[in-house]
Amino acid sequence: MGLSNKLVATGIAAGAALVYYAHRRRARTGESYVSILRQLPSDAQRWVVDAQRKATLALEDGKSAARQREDELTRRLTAGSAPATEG
Amino acid sequence: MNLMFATAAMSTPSLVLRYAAAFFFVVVAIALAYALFKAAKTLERLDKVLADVDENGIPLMNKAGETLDGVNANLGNVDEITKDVAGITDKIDKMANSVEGAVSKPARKAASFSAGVQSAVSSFMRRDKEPEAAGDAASAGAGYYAPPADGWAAAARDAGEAAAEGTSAATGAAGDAAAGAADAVKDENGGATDAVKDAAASAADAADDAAATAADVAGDAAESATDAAKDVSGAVGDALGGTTGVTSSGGV
Repeated sequence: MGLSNKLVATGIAAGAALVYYAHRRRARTGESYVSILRQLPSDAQRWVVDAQRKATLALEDGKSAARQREDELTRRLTAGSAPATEG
Repeated sequence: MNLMFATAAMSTPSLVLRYAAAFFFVVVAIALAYALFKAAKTLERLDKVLADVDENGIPLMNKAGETLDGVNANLGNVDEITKDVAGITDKIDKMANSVEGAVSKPARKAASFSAGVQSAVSSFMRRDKEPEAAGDAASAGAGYYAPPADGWAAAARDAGEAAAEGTSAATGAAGDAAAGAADAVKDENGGATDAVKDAAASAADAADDAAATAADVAGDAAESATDAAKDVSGAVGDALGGTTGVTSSGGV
């Protein structure tokens, strides 16, 4: 597969994705295709910023959940390997 | 005769005693003979038992000694076996600890990592849905009334600035009219009272018109700003209602 074929395939995929996105947004908001295409760069930039912010928050949540899970497992293993007490 | 009777009567008790003693001694002699006979028999049996013990006891004791030696040797072997088992148990314990440490720690890390990834993905998707639902609700609430490019706050600020400019323009016009009247009075050298009155009246009318214009402009600007604020608050309320509905229905 040559470079031209890769470029053509990538362009077709990007165009299909763009058409799908414009169609969905038009069906959702009622905007025109021209308006949607004109706002596409700002939407993409906003999406990137939002994605970065959400990824940062999600990473913090994931770290917190991982620490909590590890503490719980450590506590369980420690309680399971401890000698039984009578009485 | 009487003498013989008396002698016999006097010697009768001693005779009885003699016979009784003889009988007693005979009985004692028979008892002693029986006892000695029994003792002789017992001693004879004891002699036989001792002879048997001398004949069989020493070999038995030798065998018991040999058995004890064997038991001691076996006990030594058991002690060695016990030590070996204790060493094996220690090694198994160490190996179990090593295996536990080598297996449980990565497993714990893997479980923690999977829980963290799951939480991060769910958090990302939850935050991805919230603004989208809020945006849909806001656009549905606002309809086709597109917001200004700079936002509602900028529109209200522009309206306020326009009102202020209108007020300053009216004030300036009134000042100009008054200055013109004063100039006219100065030009007429204070002689033409009517001219002054007309100029003052015209100045007052101009000031009134300018003030009315400024008030109208300010009122329009305030009204437009109020409408814009109402639209913004309505859109925000709809957006919040839509977000709350989506959140409660989504169960996030």
